[in-house]
Amino acid sequence: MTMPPRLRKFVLTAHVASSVGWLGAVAGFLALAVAGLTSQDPQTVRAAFLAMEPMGWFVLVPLSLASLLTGLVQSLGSTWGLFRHHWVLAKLLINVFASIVLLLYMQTLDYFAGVAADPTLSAAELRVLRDPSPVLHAGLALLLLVVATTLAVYKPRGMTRYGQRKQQRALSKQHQQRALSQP
Amino acid sequence: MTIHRPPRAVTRLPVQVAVGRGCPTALLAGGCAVMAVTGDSGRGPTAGTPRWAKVFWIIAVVVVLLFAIALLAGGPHNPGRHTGGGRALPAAVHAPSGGLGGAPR
Repeated sequence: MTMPPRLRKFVLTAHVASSVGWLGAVAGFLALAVAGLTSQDPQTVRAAFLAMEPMGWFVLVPLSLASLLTGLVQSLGSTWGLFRHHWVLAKLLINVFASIVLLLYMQTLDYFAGVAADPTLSAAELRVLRDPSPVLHAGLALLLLVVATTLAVYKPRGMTRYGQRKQQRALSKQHQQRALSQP
Repeated sequence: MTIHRPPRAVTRLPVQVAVGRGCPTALLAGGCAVMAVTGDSGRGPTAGTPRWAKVFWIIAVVVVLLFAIALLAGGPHNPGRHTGGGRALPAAVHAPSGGLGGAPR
């Protein structure tokens, strides 16, 4: 089932906006994570981790889910399909994987934010926040999302076996119809 | 940056499809519109899996397997997973945090 052109453009716009927005938000998150890891000032470290948690829940998670949802609608509502082209399938895997890791990692961010928000903790106890995992996660997420964006722009050739079967079937059906319509 | 080589083999499709000139058939017209919107050059299908896809899927399988093993072996995604987890944690770890999701399991 293909969408009408106007709807397709709308969904495509939503997909591009949410996906590129997610990429940009991860870049911003990475900057906070680096500040939290490298700063010598305890207040800066606390502030970075306190900012990362709402950024995760209110920006990263919604954008990741919106990107996934609009991507599914866009692929299923067009002749690209979801399982016909390697690049579409690859993007789906990247999106699902990154979303799962993000949702799992939110537990850790909640914990870090809880530590950062505790005013009774000394500077020595705040050392638990000197954890490279936010930088590691944000860096890998950035890499994955850049790969996904590259795939979306270049659309490298290559159909899956399922896609090839589907296209062969469609073409043979069309040839049959053409042969029947000729006098 | 790798350069795409031309496909080794081409499926037995009408010439228009085999040379990859976009959307030759009415059935694929919808796809043509999508390609126009998204800036695709409209390449035709090729037989077999292209090299980039083979490399991608091998890496993907390895990463997903490692992730699944780490998840099954190590339990939930807790702090300290990536740093050895041997540090003494402050009391705030065990108390419900002020965050949206509470303390980690």
